[in-house]
Amino acid sequence: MHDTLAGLTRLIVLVTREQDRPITADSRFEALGNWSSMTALRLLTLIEQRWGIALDLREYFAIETVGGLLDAIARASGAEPSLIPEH
Amino acid sequence: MSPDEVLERLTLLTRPDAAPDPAVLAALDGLDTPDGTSVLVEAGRLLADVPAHLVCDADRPPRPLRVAVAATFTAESVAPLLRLFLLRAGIAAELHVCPFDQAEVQLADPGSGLAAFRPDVTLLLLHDEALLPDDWDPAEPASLREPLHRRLATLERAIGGFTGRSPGTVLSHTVPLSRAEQRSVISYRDRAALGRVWRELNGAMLEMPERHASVHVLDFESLLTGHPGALRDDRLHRFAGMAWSPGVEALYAREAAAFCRAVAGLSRKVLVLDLDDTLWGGIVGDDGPGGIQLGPLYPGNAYVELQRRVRSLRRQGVLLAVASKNDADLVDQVLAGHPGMLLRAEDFVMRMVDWRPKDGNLRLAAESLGLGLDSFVFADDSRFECDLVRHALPEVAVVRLSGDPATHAARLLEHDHFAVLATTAGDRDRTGLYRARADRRRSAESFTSAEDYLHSLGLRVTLRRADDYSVPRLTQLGLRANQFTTVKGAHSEAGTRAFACSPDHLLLGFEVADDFAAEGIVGGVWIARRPGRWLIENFVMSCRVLARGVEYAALQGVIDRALAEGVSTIEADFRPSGRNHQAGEFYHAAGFRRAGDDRLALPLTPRPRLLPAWVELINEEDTVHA
Repeated sequence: MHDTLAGLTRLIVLVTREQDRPITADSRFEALGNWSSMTALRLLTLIEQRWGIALDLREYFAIETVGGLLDAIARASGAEPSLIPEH
Repeated sequence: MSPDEVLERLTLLTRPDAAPDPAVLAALDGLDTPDGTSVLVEAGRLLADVPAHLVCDADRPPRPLRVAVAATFTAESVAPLLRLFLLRAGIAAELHVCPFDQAEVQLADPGSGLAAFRPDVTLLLLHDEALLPDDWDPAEPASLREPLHRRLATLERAIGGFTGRSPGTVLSHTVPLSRAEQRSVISYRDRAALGRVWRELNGAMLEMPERHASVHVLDFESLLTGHPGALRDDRLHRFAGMAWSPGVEALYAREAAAFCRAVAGLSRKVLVLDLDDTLWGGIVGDDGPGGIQLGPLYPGNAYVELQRRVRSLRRQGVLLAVASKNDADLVDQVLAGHPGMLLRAEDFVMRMVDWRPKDGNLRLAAESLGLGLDSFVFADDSRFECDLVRHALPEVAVVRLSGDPATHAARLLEHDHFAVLATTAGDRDRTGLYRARADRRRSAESFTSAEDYLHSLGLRVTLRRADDYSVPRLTQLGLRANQFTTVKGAHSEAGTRAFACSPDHLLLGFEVADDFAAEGIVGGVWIARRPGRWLIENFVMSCRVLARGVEYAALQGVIDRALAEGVSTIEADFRPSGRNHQAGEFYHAAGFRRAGDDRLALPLTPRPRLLPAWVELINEEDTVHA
């Protein structure tokens, strides 16, 4: 779980180029610099390719904090492998 | 290098005080996997903020190119991926992305942002929804024919208008029909009808280059058959209007980058092949000529297949060479007599069969062919040899042919290193021409002076105004010549065509023949005719005829024509590119002197006498020009 947080944080810094404030599980996406729906989609693609999962967009856009996203990744990669799209 | 490390290093490069890190670009190749596209996109975004000199070798500055992306849908990732792939191919692109969904308007409107950007290449990205009527009747797929036809005609008018006003090139593509559209027709008969009308649309698209010289079409529908993922991610499509999944965007960007490379004249020209376990299976030194794997059965047939593909490259003008650590006699035996060989000794311009390091051999090959190492592709099964060449000669493209030989042919062609906009009849004879050149070198050894030798060749240079037959070859020379060109990239494909037809311009081609071979058109001169003064905008010559005085003979022909029209001074532009110093030295030796920033001038009184004593100049009368 800790590795996932570190990896996720790196991805968030990458898409937002947030340099000034540290990102924690409590960080709210809306409060990050450069956060927009396009940034959110870039982050989504990075997450899905990195962890081999597919998230429901309604659920994804309802997530407010980094910790909430971490939970969603854990749920998708652990409990519900059926969400991985078939190629 | 892990993805995180690559991105970390790229992030550092975006800082104002960043130190150069040329290794990072090559590391990105390792991330180019179906699951790695999102990382590549982010790398491409970071690269937008990295000055090119920080990631490129100082002695090989990237070439500039203006590339526009005009899409009927949201294609956010195409531009960053293009930036990355182009930089990898030696091109520092200036990118312009049109507002999405405005592709056609931007093409059609002479005052659009796209027109103002003046792109060298415009990439037109289309998706099925932009072409299909909203309410088409799945029970009557044939009724789509007419509206699709009209839709394409409108699009073609916009493209034609744009290329008529702008000198750049447009790349369109065949459009894949999404699975949902196909599946929404339930009868097999009507599905076939739908497939038919859709292929008619794509077929008409593929005909566009026949009608518009500056339009090219990528057969994207065919390319997608090798793509592992889905065309569309329905979530991203519905949410953000993205019609292509990230993997498809990457596939497109890769193909578009190869196209841009061809436009920029950076296509590779020489393929250097290893022999053992590359061109045949096994080690001829150990197994003997009879023991190598080469024939109708697996795995021998995989090597035959590779040879077949290599032979087709040769037939389209790619020069082949051998670099093998082997006993030359054994290799000669196989090349001459093995019944399974498709390639024979005469298919190769050079054979470097010895025990010397391959990087040195490649360097020698480049020198004796008069071509830059950046036009070489090296294919070998050995990790050692591949790493050696990659390290010692980073400008050479390396293809490692390891693992199952059945995959080798596809791997060799995968990166489209040799792609060009068009091939000409002369390409088919290129191997022969370069071989004749090697023979000439051997013959030179028996003469006491270079001049004796040149006199013995019986050189004839013919200078002739460009016509419909020679314009394609001159266009190609203009794009491909890297060393003997006075202004690299002076004229685009369309620019050269326009040049040939304009009364204020004169496009001359020159041919060389000697007692060994007729080389066909080896150079061209792009001249703007002004009253009393001519300006040579570009002077291009193939390096294979260097050191024979051919360029002086051609210039003499230009001077004589100018004098006949009462011209008193010939001016010429020379722009150093780092590679074209020979062309600059030529102007200087011919008597041109500096007359401005990139401008040189040569007074025509007294008449300059540049024709070498060993060359016969045939300055052909212009036939009536339509």
